[in-house]
Amino acid sequence: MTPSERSSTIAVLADNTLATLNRIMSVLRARQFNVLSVTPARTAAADIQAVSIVIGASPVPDQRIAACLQRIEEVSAVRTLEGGRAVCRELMLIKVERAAAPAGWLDDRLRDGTARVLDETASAVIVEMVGDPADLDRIAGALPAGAVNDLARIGPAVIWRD
Amino acid sequence: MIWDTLASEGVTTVFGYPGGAILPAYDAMLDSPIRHVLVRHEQNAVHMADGYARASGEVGVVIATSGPGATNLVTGIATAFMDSSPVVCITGQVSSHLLGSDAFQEIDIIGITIPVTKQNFLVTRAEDIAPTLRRAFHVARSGRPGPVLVDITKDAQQSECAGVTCDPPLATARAVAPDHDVDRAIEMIRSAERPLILAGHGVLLSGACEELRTFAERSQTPVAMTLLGIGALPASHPLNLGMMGMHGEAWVNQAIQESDLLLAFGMRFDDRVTGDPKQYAPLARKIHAELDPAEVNKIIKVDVALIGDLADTLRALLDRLPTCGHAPWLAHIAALTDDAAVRDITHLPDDGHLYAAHVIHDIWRLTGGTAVVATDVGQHQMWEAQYYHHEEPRSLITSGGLGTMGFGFPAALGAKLARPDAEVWAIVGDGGFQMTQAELATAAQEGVKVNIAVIDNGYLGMVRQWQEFFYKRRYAATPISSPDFVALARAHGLDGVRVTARRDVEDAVRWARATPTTIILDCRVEQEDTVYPMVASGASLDTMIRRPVQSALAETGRDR
Repeated sequence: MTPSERSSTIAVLADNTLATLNRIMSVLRARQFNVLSVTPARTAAADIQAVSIVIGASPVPDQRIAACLQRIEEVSAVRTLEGGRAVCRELMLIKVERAAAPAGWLDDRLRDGTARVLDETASAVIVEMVGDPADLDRIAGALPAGAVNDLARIGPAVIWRD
Repeated sequence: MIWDTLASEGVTTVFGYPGGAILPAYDAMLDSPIRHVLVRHEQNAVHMADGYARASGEVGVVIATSGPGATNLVTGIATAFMDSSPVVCITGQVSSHLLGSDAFQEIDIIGITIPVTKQNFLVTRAEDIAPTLRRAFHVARSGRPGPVLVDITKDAQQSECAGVTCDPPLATARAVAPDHDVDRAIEMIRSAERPLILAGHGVLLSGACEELRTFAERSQTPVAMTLLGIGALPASHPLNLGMMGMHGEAWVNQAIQESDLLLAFGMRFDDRVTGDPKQYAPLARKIHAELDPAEVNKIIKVDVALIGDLADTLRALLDRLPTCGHAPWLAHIAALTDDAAVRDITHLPDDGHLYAAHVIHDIWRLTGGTAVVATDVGQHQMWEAQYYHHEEPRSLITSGGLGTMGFGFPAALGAKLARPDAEVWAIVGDGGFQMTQAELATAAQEGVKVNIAVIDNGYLGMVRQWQEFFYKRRYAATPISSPDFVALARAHGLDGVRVTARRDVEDAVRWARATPTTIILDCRVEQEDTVYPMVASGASLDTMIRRPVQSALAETGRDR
């Protein structure tokens, strides 16, 4: 995923049931929205889940997507992520080929605290990174082709400031 | 438990079909005063409940078993979903310990119906049945109405629990458009010279017909109807222009394209209404009064959105609306109709041919425009909208969004059960009627009286028309044979007559109205007649295909 592909995040609070998640997915699929990821997360309330939806560049405004999701009976709140009203973080695991990575890339990440090494082999290193999704986009996007052996991102987790 | 809860919600009639997983509920039904109408296919149970809901404004109720009983509901549910019709479907499910085991007649009907229900519920405990059903009714009728499915496991149906407390139905919160948006709309209305109201199904659903009429009269704004909006303003009202869109009146579409302000009331700018959205009403600013925010700016970008219950929104507008006059604009629209006057089929010699327009025109004339008419989907549906001039709300019952063939007859039965004092007609095609004609047995068994006019042209007519226009008259799979509909009616203990000439239509309609049982008029109409005007799919409303004048046939019943 490159920064240009990621355009916006919609955060949903909904009843914590599989059927609810199924219904959210059904709306997103049926409306053909350009969904890049859907991330359900537990919240402090056992019966409420937080679902973060990342929407790629799309002619459909976020407000319309939010309105469609708001129609779902089990959805209690839908908000678009804008104006620094929320803290947003994402976990990325990335397996980097040592030979293809730029010299010093890993050391720089370890030094500034954005990365933690989870596993190493002679040829590759698996790194855990947590940060703003846009920063993760940038970091992953800066690696040359061939350097990224594998990558897994869990999608953003969001907590509202107000 | 189920029946007591239904009774507490005011239900008097349900439509259904029994089976293994719903047997406990059916056994309990024998102790309930609620009337059960045994259908011949579960899809038709939903169409009946849908027709019941549309005719009455109440929630229609369906009951069916698990597995195929449940899956057979899907087209009916989708039909109700697309047209925002409040229907509650109750399905039996295998016992809870068998869920997920691929048990006999087990199917994940919750998963299957998620895209076509407003909400659905799986109930596995007896104590949850009553509150879930009450929630289902609340969801079905509140806000933008829609179908709800409640799937109840067999063990939940068989278990004992405390009785139902008959609390009043749950209150429904009504959204209200904010004042500043209403003020903006009023400013646009004040300054408009060529305003036009687009009245949709939401006018009927919100019960806003009187407010619409007052608004139109005070502002002297003409009103165009969507297919499902027909009846929102009496057809005879001088400000009622008729239907818009693909097969709408030519002058209505032209007026839309020339308007400087569109007031869209409870409609969703369906593609059959707008044609090419990029070329739609290019001169007009647009105000969209709509309950569902998801419908705003979906197809057509609007200048002001009034999100809220339509009746409340219209009342808020009326509080601020000055008396207006748009005489030049109304005169201009009247002039747009001039060239159509020569094309009225009802004023021309028939040369021995029977046209669908003749049949529908005579049914309208003899019923005074006050019958409840349910239709299938296709050419006859459009001719009904053109030639039957509805004077009352909730009097046209038709599948607008999903376009479900076979809807008309069962929907008519549901409408008759909802409004037993109303005269109910099913105007159907020979193709669609054959999909659901098995309900003749239901009509006979239940003693329900409706009049069925089969517009019988030996083709799947609308598809044939598209093949004629866009596929070089290559009629692939559209010629269709039919049984002897008159004999079919008689085989069910009902009756029918065949109509082949225009001179026979009036007597046949009179006979139908006087006959106490359901009857069929098998109207053998011109086989290759065409619905005009027509806007090709995706084309601009400006580019209507008109019936050639030299054919001496009418375009619509308003062409006079």
